[in-house]
Amino acid sequence: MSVIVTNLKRRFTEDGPPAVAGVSFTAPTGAITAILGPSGAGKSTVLRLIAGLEEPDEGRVILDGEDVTDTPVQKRGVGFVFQGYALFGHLSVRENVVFGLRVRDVPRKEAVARANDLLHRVQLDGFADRRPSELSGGQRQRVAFARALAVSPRVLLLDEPFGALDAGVRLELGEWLLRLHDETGLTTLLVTHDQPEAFALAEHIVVLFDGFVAQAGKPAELRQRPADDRLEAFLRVVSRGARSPA
Amino acid sequence: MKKSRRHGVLPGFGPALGVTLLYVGLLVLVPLAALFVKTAGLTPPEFWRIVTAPRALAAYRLSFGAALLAALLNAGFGLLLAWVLARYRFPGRAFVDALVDLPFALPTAVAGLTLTAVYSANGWLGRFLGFTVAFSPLGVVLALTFVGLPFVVRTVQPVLEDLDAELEEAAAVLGASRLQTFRRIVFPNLLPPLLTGFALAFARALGEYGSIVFISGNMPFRTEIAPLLIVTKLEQYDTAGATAIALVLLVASFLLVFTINALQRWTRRRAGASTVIGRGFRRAPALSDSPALRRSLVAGAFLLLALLLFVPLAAVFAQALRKGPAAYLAAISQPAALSAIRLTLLTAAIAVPLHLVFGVLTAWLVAKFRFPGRGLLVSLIDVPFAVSPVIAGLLFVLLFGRQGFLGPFLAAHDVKIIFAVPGIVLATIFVTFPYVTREVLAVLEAQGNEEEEAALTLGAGGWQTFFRVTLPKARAGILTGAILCNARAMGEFGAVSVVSGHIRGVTNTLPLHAEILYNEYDLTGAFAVASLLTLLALVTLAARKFEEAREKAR
Repeated sequence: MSVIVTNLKRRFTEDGPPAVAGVSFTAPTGAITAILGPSGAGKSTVLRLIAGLEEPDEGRVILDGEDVTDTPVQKRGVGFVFQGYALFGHLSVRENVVFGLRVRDVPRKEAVARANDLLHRVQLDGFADRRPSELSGGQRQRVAFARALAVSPRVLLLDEPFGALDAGVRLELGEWLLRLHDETGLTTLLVTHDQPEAFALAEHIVVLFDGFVAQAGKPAELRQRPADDRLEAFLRVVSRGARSPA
Repeated sequence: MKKSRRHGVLPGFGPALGVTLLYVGLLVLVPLAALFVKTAGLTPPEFWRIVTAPRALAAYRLSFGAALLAALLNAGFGLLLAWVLARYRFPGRAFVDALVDLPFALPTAVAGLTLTAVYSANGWLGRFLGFTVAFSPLGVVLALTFVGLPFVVRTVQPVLEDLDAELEEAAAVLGASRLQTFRRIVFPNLLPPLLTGFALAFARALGEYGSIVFISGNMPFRTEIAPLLIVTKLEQYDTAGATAIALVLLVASFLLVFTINALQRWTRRRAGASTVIGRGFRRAPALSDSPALRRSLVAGAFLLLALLLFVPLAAVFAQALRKGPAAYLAAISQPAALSAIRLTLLTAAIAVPLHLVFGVLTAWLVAKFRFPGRGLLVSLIDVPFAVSPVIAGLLFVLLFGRQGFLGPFLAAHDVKIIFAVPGIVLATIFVTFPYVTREVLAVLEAQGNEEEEAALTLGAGGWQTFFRVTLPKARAGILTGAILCNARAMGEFGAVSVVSGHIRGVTNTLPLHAEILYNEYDLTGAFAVASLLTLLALVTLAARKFEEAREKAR
């Protein structure tokens, strides 16, 4: 299940530069690909274009060989974890996870069984009847994962998944994400502005600057052969070695 | 040390509490107590006979039934208007957004006057209808729908605007259609404010008087609402009977206030629960409503507003100018009209500054300090909103009227309050009580204490902190409060009507003067006076919008 985007363009304002100015890359099947860049580089917009939450001005989105550019977001079969999790505050944790199955008319019993199974997988067994507001940040994040996984998505799209958490929880959840990924083998795209995080989690990294792909490749390639001075400066944080790649 | 720890570090608790208790006590509590004491003078069987008399029962039925129907209509209309205003950008949106508040700013007498003219059998719109609206129970529903229109819009719209786009996006990514998303995600979030708005509209409709006296025809058993029955009994010098009916209405209003407070707490909890951390994205184009749906909803909103607001508004000026500008000018420059203008200005000139001083102080006390009875104090501040204006007037008749508690004393000293200017001023002060406090309180609570604490650490004293930090911060609330307070003071009808005695040239305010002219079949005169009040309402709305825009630009 690869994700290919070709020459994606998206402009939000009449004047000023486009948010995404012609982005092409391939996220390989079964791998975690990080979309890395400073804030304002267009990372989140690229992810939203892949999900179908934005329509591109130009370019195509291809999921596993199928052109989905004109497929509405409801039918794309992607799992999306939002930056702020976007949990439904008026529903319990279980009802949040069940939601995507119920709108697909999966029988209630089956949906609940699947939700319970997923909540077990994300280690939230005792929390099914709580409201999201009663959970910690890390717990909410795992509910968001369970909810995204419940609909058996073709790819998993994560928008700054650890952005709202403090450092200790980030580290812990990063390791948890790697384990989860090992189990599911799901093609995963992860947007982050944090270089060490990208290098710790991803097998493939796409660096975006100003709406363009500055460089894409394996972490080792990027570190050893940065394309230009700006990339070198941007990635220097990592070579100082905060964390080692997984 | 102990004291400051209990109430927070900010100074000024003691004096503020003292002044506030005096302010709330004298202007709200004492008048309310008069009602209960007076009712206690009745034996239970007497009381029961009055409040269950057939005519009273018919009045409750109409009051509650029409108020419920109007509130239900407003729930639907309000949801439509809130959705259109929060979600769509269309030509005239700012205009619609401003005009939705017209029923808050327009004196109810003017609303009644113009709705009657527009919807009577030969009126602009009434002639196209195959049924009677004016002078029938339907007219009562129409007027109550008018006065309650803004409530649901103003409770639902901010929640809808703050509802994070990510929630709907999450539902869409999970496969939910637009309809499923609305039904299962958006609507549950709107339910608490919708119910709050519904209850507010219901409470407002239950006490409404000014617009109804014009449009209903006031026929006992058919179009006589409970507040009108109170006035009728008062006019027949049946104070005890009026008080008993008033108590029934008052208890119903208080129950509604408690419900509303509970609903508002629920709304806040729900809003807190759905809060999403992260930057707000623009709503995804893939998730916006289809152009056809958007167009029909906007068209529906315009049609609704045309029928309820635009046409009646235009009718005021058309009727006023029907006999030409000369007749118009003559009508508003009669001695009686000029004296009504003077009295209206005088009343506002007393009520507004009074509430400005004490309202700001009360808001400061409630916003900055925690103390036992604080919740009760907040509820008491809102009481004048819940009480029917007619009851507000009655309270002062019970205190200062000829048969009132202080009547004999006042008569002995030849002081006249009821059927005189002081009564009008007092009744106006009562009904305008909450505006300044509420607006300032909202601003202060939104801002927190950090800036005051910073001032204290920099060595500013209590008064310095208040005048140099808190007051400038609360500027927007103070101005908005004053604008709203002024509009209500100048436009109040029911309360003033009860205490005025309608002495032309002496105790007539502008709204009362309009009623007298109307009852004398001087339509041009009545609408000329109404047009002045309408201009006041439009200026009020414009001033408020201007203030909001200024605040946003900062």
